[in-house]
Amino acid sequence: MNGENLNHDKWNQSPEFTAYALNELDESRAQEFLKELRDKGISEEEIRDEVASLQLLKATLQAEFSKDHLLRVSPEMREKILSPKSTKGEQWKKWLLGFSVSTSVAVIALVVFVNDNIIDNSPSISSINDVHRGEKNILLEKKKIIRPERKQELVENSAQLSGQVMNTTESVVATRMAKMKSAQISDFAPAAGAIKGKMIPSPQVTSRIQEEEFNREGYDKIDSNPYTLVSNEPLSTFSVDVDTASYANMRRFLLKGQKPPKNALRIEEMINYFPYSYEGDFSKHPVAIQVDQVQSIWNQDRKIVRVAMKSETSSELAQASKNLVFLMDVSGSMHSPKKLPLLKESMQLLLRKLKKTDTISLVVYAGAAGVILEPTEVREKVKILKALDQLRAGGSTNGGAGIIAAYKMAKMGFIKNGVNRVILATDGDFNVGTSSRGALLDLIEEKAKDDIFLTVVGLGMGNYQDAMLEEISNRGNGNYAYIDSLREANKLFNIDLEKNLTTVAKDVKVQVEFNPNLVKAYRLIGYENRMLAAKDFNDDKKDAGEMGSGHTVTALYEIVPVGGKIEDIAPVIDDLKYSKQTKGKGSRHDFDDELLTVKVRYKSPTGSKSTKFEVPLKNKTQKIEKADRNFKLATAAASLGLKLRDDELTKNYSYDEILKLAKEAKGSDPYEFEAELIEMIELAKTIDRND
Amino acid sequence: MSDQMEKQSWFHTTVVDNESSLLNYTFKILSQMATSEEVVQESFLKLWKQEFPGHFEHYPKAWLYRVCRNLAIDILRKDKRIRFEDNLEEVLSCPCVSESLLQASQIMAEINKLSKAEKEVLVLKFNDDLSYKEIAEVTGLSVSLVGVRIHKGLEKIRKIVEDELNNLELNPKKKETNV
Repeated sequence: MNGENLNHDKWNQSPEFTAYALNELDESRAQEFLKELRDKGISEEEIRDEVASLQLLKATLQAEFSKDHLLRVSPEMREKILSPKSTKGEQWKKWLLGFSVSTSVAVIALVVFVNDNIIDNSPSISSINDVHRGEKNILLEKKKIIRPERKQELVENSAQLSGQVMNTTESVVATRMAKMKSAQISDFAPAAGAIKGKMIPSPQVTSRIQEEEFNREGYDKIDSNPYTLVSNEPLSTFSVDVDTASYANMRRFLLKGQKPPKNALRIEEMINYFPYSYEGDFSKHPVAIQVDQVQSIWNQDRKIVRVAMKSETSSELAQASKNLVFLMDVSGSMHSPKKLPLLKESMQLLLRKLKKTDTISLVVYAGAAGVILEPTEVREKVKILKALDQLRAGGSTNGGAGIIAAYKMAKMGFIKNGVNRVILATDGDFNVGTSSRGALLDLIEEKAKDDIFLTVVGLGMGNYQDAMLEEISNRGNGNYAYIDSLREANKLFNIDLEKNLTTVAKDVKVQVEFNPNLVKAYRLIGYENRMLAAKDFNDDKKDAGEMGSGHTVTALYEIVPVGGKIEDIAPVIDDLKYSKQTKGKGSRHDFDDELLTVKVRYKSPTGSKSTKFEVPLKNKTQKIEKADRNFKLATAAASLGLKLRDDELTKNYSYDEILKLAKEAKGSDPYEFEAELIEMIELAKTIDRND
Repeated sequence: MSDQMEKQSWFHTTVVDNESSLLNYTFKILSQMATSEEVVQESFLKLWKQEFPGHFEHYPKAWLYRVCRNLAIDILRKDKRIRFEDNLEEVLSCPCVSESLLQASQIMAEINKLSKAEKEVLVLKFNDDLSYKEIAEVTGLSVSLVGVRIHKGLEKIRKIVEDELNNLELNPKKKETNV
């Protein structure tokens, strides 16, 4: 272990050098050691190369080991662990509920620790020599204040910085070197954050860390749709949305024991996360619709109207050949086990589900984009798996170049009448390359015109860019899901594979016309960023959402019937003096028993002209108890989201009531989605102090 | 928060953070799912019984590993009849494990050739991401011995890993940039 004894040939073959390269030396010893090497006439470059090569070795071994790091703790076992014999209190039981929830926890455990050693790039943290010098506590002290999430953040910051410092070097080796370098420059990773101009808390301020962590994730503000007076605007128009990301993201927060940020909760995605057993007649249209109503559970004297849509289950499409291009973010920020490794596992799930003749391509993007695998048939599974195994995270993100390469592959393997899809998997931090968000989105929109659809898979946490990903999927004829666990990957790539990879109807728009004689005001729950102008409904150039095979989409309105009170809603404009405020055919008396009419427009997957059909809803009243299971489930999911958003609607509706509703809604639930919702509600109840 | 509440919340975070790494770790020693689960449970029970706030609540990981390791070794000592056949089915029933077993790599094969002592520290370092110091805590070795073993272990597998890496298409020199 003594540097002085080394001759020049063997300078890199001492245990201490290994420790140095693995960042196991404390800062002062590391500097000393470096100096010793230099004094021996070894250039900085030589040292850096050697360190990088050991770092690469380390990353390879980690990847190798991570392959069989797959045992999961069963819910029963967790239950046992969490109820040590000495505690039997009720409060404790409540805690438990949150943790019996899903296998995702298994993956969480991986996240926490695999990052330690990257963080240790900051040479200040761990050490061999500390021990000898009786400074044992330094390690513990540091660990104490740097929590796992924080580490994650540090890792990502230093990774990002390295990208800038090194001016986007491409290779894994170079990136690893860059990481080292940035650690040395900044001495301590938070400084790296500061250079980047982001709000990074000093590690001492532990209480603020969770809050800051939110700040690092990008969410667009969601302003709930306001109540609208029918006399002002009798038409409500929106695009369908089959995304589910928001629910999975909410689950991640609740499992951490945190209330999700309001802007992370898109109510429509929470509703549409669940599979509903709607029935429909698909003889005329590939989309069926059902409209019904119950008395509002949230407010007296109001109603909830449900617009339930289902697309045709197309066995033809399910059989169709698939040409899938995976565009995978392998930038430094994807290093965490919950990102790239989880993605790899997810893809193994997917491979099992595909036909032998389907093709897979892999494109990665980090500092520069690269095609790892050109379209390859699934029968060559070993080749695909091998290519997957070789992926390593490192470098900063150049989303734009990757997108171009991916669409190029999709075109190369294009299957006529088949499924052609780019699957973009990322944590969404496009920070290098195609510069602005706008330019990137334009690029995707342009590429989406070739009948190549897009699925966006969000991963990870800490610097998760939700808003960005959602927008990309909207613009690229896509859907958007969030994977936080293998279980969720299983839903996306196994249970719901056909739904997610196929498209049976394109640009599906919904317009609801309310009858002003019966409805005073309405509010659409969710769909805030899916709203369209009334005139967009008939405009075939206006893009809207896609529905895959057997997808269900549910929209809920709360409406105030004529004569109902709405003083708690946004200020009403004065009555018009000269105009009759009723307009359109709604005022005609032949339709007086109709509450509203729902109009749907869709295009065939490759069509450019839309088809329209409509369904009216007769006015009658029933209680939610009488409604079908699906209605209750949708309402319960929406209620949970609204409640967590502290929405006005659910001000007087308690978690207990939501829970009761969800329990009534529970059916055979083969995949335990509904059971999970119940647990989520119970968890939210313990976390949300506003109830 | 009362002390009790604080302890519960700390305990549960610790469980969530560590349970599956510990299970995987213990399973590697015992190759028996049910027994490994018992060991992990037992280790958490021991943790719960510790005084709180105590000296390790900020950093229970190495402690837990050590407890699991000791318990597992005890079991191995008591029961030498553990047969692999019994577990094979269990292992294979987990699809991902079977997947990785079936395509066990060169690198893994090379690691398996190392001495038990080297293998253990490498696993703790690269699979469980423990620092040298933590590994020392878990195994009862000195930090410098941990360093030496890791160094030697790495030296032995380095060549094979680098050969594998040279075949990589991700290798920057071979990489296409289709832009």
